[in-house]
Amino acid sequence: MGADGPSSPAAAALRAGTPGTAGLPGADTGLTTAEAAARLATDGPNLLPVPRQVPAWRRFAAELLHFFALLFWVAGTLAFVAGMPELGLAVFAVIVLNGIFAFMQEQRAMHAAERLRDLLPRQVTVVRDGTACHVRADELVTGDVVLLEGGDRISADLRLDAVHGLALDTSTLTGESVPAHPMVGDVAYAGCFVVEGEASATVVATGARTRLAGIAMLTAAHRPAPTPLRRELDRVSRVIAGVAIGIGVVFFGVALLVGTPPSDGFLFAVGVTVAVVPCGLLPTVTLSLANGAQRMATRHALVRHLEAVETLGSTTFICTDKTGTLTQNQMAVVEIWMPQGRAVIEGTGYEPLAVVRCEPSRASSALSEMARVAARCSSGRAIEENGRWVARGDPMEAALDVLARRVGVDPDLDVTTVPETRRFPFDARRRRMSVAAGGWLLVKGAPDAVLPRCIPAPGADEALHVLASRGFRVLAVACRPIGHELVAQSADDAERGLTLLGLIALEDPPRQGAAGAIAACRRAGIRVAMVTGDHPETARAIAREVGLLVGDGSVVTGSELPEDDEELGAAVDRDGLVIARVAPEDKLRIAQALRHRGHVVAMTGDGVNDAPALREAAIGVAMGRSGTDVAREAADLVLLDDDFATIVAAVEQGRSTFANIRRFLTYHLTDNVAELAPFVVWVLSARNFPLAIGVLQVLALDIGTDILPALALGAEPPGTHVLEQPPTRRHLLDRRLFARAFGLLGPVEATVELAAFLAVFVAMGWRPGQSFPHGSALLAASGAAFTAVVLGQVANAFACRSTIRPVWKVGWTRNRLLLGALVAELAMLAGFLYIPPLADLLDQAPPSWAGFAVALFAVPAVVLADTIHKRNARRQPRHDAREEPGEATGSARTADRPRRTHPGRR
Amino acid sequence: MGLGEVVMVVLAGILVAAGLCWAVVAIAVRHSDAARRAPRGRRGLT
Repeated sequence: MGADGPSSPAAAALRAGTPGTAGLPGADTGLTTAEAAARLATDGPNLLPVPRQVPAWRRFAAELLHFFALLFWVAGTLAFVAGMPELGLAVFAVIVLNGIFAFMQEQRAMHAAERLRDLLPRQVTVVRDGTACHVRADELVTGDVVLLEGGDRISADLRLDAVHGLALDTSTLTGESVPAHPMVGDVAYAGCFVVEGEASATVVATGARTRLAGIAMLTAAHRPAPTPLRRELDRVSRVIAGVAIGIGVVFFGVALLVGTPPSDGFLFAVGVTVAVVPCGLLPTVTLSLANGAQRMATRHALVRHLEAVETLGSTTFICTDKTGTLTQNQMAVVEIWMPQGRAVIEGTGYEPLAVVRCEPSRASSALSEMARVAARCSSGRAIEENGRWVARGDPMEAALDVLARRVGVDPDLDVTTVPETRRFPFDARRRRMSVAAGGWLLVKGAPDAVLPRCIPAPGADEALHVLASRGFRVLAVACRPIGHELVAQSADDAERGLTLLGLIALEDPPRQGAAGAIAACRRAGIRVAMVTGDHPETARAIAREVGLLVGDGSVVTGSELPEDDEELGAAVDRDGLVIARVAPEDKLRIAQALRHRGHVVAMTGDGVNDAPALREAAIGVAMGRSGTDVAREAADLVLLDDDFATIVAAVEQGRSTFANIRRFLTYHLTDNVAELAPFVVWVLSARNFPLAIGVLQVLALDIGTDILPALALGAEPPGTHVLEQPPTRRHLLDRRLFARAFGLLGPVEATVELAAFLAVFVAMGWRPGQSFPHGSALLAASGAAFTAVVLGQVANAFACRSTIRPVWKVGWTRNRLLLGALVAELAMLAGFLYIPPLADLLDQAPPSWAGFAVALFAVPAVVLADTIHKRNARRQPRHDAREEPGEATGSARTADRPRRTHPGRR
Repeated sequence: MGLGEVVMVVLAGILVAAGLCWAVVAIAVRHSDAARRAPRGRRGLT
């Protein structure tokens, strides 16, 4: 919104009895609270009828009938046909179990998304009992008088009673992209946005009776589209399944050609498919993202799309606003220059008591008059709430109200005694506003928009320069007599030949956490630029205070930015840059230019015109408190507290979520090798070497023992120095992850698995050269192989918690969920081995002591291989030593910190 | 099967299994990379 002027004088317009509202019943004072409550009780809340949800049973059915499930149905049916009913039944059971699991995850993710939406109730300014106040949009009732200003979303069908330069974006309803300019008496429909201007209007229809509701009812109920991340994982999984089936079919054909019975060939084909397809992956990813979103919400960052959690983690550039984001947005008038003298005001917050020093003292009457005019042009108020004075409305407007009270003027009394006759509202192009009252035109606005229209005042330009260079935000106040007739001219004609009353210097102190957050960004390798509509000197002063601008850091203005997009990219791609006097179009160009240079840009914005820039940026960040509805709808992330530090916290959580997804991907993929190896050995040996683990055991590993540890890895808490690494530009699945899972940990698990399998035979007297035993010996050997894989995965779960730290240095108790999951995994293992029906189903038996002893080796083997791998990785910093973002640090963080490379400094 | 045969077949089986897993997932990722049309910024998996 306007950085230099009032955003809305709507409340003042109403107090002054805006022409046009007078003839309407209750328009002057609005409804009474009692009347509104009565109407709310009879008409019901102003909510759109909930579109018919896809019923739960259909969503559950979809989980049973998606691509993977269909594959498994076919495999299960074939198993029946091939005379293996246990396998068929087990495969069907797996489909149903997996379906239930995925359905529950979806439900949880959906509920999480709904709860997040509820965190941000839409507020509407209405007139109740004669005063303007904010109510929730769902509490609007027919007959309510609503005050509209630029950026508002219209929440009910309204009849316009008074308009000031109103333009509406009706594209939601009509698809028309050019703003409409409705007149008094026209209806503004729910769902439209106010582009500019202001209005007062009466509610004529709410909830299901609005035109928007009619349209909404026409559209069929639909399931929300899957997120890009989910679509991509879906695609990867499908291709994996496709290739796996291809391999299965090829091997089946080969097996038939070399004389293998068709049933064995089929068993092999199913085994390969099941072993390679990561069944539990999709729901785990969704849940991990939903978890990340919920954690961000507790830190006041509201994610509007789940995949933004992951994108946030890779942010490389933050373009931040100044007011309210880096500063407290708590304005106070600290100094005043007048042609007659100057004044210094020392007060606390918005309290009406302050020390006012006026030099010379005879200038105090001029000071009072100037403060009165400034307050008349202001729409904000300072009110006492729970013993604390707070701003209502724009903080800068409230500061002017406070100024008047501090110098002894009662703004409320003034409004009643000298009623307003005409108002020219603030707009971003004029950057000033004016009010006609008591035969005078009172003007307030940005100095460069007001001073040229004033009769030259000696010393004003110098004073302005001094105040601005000290970092103050400066407003000019002026007036001229207009007689008692109504001003008929346009604003441009009326605001001429003014007498300057004074310059008001306001200060907005920086937020406490801002400097720390900017330093954190620097450590995290994220570049930060301040992009503000404010004066260059004000921007410079704040940038210095928060440590953004260091040394001779440069401040450029929007008009100095190069026209050419490539040059623009080169010019703005610097850390600590301050760009002042920026128009919303410049923001869009900056976002585009940085994106073309390969940056993942987070851009903040709060105004109507910021929406395109917010959409263009990889992460559009809107302000939850001060932002407009338009900006919020265009954004990916809404800051509930408007604080810059919250963006940094969200980036931290994003990085941590990205790392967690990689953790459980590694975990999930590792045992694929151990699952597949027995089948390959079995085929390569022309079925002479018995099958160490069967299809059902593979399913028990994938869907049973692996799931809980994978989920727990997805919930790994952020490490203490997540933000001390450069941004990751890595893919979720890359060579490094493959090398670890398929090149090292998987083969180690497979080796111990087959060794345990053979150990049982050897302990029973089998020697090389003899044929392999069958019957109970084979069952016990298979149990040993299964045990080895599960124990290997237990060690692997700890190994996956870090990419650089050995297992014993990751901190045992940081992820308690994982400890619980591992206990559950071991309990499941015991169940699969020692509960006879389960063991029979899986075709295994408890291993002999020899098999168990070798299987136990899986733990040290995985830990040892992992430790050697991590040590080697640390010796090769260019390739592997960069720590995962979101790494758990344990106790050895400083001793083991890897050498880091910064992509931008190579 | 003799000891040599057992060792050979087990090692070969593990290597082939690891190679197969690697190939399958790498093909899937490459396929996904090619099919991706990211509208803005860096989005998604690969």
